[in-house]
Amino acid sequence: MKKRIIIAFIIIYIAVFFISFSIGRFPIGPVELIKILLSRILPINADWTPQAESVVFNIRLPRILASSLIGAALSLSGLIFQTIFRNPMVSPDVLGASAGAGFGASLAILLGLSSLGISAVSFIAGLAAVSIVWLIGKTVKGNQVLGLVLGGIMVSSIFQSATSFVKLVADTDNQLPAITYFLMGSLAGAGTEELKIIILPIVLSSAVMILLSWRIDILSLSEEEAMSLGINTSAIRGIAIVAASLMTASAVAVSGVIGWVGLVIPHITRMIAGTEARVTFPSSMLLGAAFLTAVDTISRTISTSEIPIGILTSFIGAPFFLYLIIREGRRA
Amino acid sequence: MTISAENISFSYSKEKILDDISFTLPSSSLTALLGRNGAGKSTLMRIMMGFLKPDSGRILIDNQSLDELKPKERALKIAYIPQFSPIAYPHTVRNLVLMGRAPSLPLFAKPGKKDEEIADKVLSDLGISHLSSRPIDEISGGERQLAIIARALVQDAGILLLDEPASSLDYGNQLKVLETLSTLKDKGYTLLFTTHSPDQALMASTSLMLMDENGKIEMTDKEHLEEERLSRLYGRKLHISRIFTGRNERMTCVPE
Repeated sequence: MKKRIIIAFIIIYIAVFFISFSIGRFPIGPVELIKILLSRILPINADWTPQAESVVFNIRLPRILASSLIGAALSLSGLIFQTIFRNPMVSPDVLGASAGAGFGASLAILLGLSSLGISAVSFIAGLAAVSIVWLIGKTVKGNQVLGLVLGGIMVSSIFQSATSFVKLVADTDNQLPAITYFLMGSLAGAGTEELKIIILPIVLSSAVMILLSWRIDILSLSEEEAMSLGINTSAIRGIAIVAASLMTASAVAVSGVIGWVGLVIPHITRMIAGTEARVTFPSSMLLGAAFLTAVDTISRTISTSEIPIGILTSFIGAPFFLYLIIREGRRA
Repeated sequence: MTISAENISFSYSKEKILDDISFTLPSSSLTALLGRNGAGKSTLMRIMMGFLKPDSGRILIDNQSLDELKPKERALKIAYIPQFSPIAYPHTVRNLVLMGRAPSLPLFAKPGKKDEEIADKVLSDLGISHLSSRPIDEISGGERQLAIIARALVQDAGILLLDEPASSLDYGNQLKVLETLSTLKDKGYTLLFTTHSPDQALMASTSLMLMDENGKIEMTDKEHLEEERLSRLYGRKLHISRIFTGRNERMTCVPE
């Protein structure tokens, strides 16, 4: 049963992967795609145009990898935060990772840095924001979770104000639109170089989280229950917070703020796969990857000029969440 | 397994909650901890779990100090059933019970076939096998309490501390939980539970621990409990009467 759910999610993801390749201004069919991809490791006669190869390796593959990685990272970090804070309404940016990374990106654009520079500064600022929140949480006595969440709200607010200030002083012809566009959330700038920065933190963090998934699940019990089961709650929670924040900051550094994915996908995952973390962790990653890749395909093909994906995820995510609330209300 | 307290004192800011408390709970014992609201019953349990550090004194488990035990080692000796188990996510009964295997497994391990067999055995011993795939928020309060007791048993700890295990249950379920505790006592477990009902204490336990307002405790076995002592505890004149049910003698507490 558990395995079947995960296999179903893998099939969904693979389907979305191939469909996404075949849609766009330069469509590439699944057979041609597999041949082009394999040609890098196997000696296959090139019966495709160099143009097709260039589209696959330089444009579409980095982009689909980016949407997959970022979708998986945001969904898993949302699920982790929801589990360890015992609150299904929590999203991946609860500890200020998005606000910090958004500020970093704005600052980098203001300073005229390259796209790679923007990702790097954004990533560092995202981690800095989470570290400040972490320090605040440590100084709060008693309810540490509450201290962290309140700290997250305050630090986010400060970084958002700082972003507003950057926008205020930015040049209105070039920088301000660039900042605004970045903050809307888009994968248009995701290239191989940007992927290189984020692939390691995301893959490592998610691997550690999947290894620890069962223990993280135990944190969803009350603090004293988890402690009574011999769990070192502060250590496990600490590792989970670091991993989830690394993933969020990585995602925002490349794509800007893409909302709702990290809130809605964990909910859908739980609806389908239940509550067991060893099933939900990989499932939410696969579903998040499939979802963001599908939405990104829409965002780059729906009109002649690309629509920032953050706008689409909000248009899809918010009404869906509303539906969940109404459904819960009816059940209760 | 034996758990004992040696000269435990504890205060919140300046208020003295526990004042130089010492006692020993032997194997195969079921002790009820009675005291008024705020007397410090839950505090004592938290100290016995190592969640709170006493100002002075120490807790010994089989003559080994609690402080010397790592969290995992402690969890293999003492299990704790808190007063409220808030449900953030509706795990199935079986998954919840399996969590009791945590102290027995290495950091990155997940429960395997052997752990599942242990969980299923305990579920069947407690007569709740039929609930194993039900979400914990869809079963009754009594069933949930039994599931949490099952988790404590799966944990394989010899000492069970239960904070008001039967307080929010209907009468039938109270009896069921208390009888389960009594069975566990017969199997050799060391059990301590808090309750606000002297009747629950008189029905299930072998001994009573009375905690007064001044942070002192007094232990007595059930047969020697004096009416005057119980009356003083609650500030009301109380009588202890013995009723023969036809099969056995029961003790109950009635106000004047």
